[in-house]
Amino acid sequence: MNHIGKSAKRTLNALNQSLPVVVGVIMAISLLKTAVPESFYSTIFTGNILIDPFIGNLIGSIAAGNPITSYIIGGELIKQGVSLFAVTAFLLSWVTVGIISLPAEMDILGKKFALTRNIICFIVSFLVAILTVITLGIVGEL
Amino acid sequence: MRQYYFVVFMIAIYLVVYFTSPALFHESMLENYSIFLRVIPILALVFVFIFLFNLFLKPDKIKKHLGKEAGMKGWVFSIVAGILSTGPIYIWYPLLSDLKEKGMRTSFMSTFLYNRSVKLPLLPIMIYYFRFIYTLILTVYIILTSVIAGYLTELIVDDESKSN
Repeated sequence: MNHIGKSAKRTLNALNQSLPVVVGVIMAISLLKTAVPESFYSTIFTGNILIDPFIGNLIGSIAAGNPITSYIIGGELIKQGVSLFAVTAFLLSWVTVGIISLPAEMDILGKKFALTRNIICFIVSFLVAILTVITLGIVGEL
Repeated sequence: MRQYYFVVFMIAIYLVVYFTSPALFHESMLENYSIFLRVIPILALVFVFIFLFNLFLKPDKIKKHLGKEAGMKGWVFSIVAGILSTGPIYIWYPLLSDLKEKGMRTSFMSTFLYNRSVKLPLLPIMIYYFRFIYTLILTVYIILTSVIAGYLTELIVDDESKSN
């Protein structure tokens, strides 16, 4: 019984530490999703094969929401002639890098961990995008 | 007290939006309501997990399966758990924090979070937009690089922790 009480106390402590931060993140995401229309994303790509992947990665890192949204936007970007390289970086960073949820991650998991993980994911998203496009070319699916 | 800074900051922003753009405020509040409705059940589940882990899992067990001596089993568990976990990424921070306290490796935390980009229920939608072969290649690369991302995170974070 004492052990259950201790576990409950630890859980309540975790709840008290995490819930305000999570609520703050949800508020930030809601405001961003409402303020930035989906049509905005297609207007910021330049058509430059070197700059666009970086833009895709950056926008994906800042954007937030359900990954389905990123697939729909990604599909539209492909139709508009944005490179698959840029779209892949965008899709990956959308789910792996979280600028909006960074305050929560730093608060709950530690500043060093959160910053390091997000920077590494940003770079890895870029590399995976290159590898994916190269591999598609090799298997003749580009 | 520090955990309230961000939410207080967001409330201040919402107050500014309320007076400068009431329509945006109203739409944002509706979006908040919609997200909260989706998130609350998952968040409740996460805290049930935390309670049960505190009740039944001793730190030595965590260290054995998710600590330094876990080996390949730890990597596989992190990848599979990351792929299977649902809901927004920030919902899982409290549980990871709890597991970290009990001895979970930094690399496994990072690998778990990276593998959340593989969404099994959404794969058919991804295939519809980007074709099967693209989805397959991307998914394989995500899983493989999640190990590299996890390893690098641990290398930098734990090294800095030691030097501080």
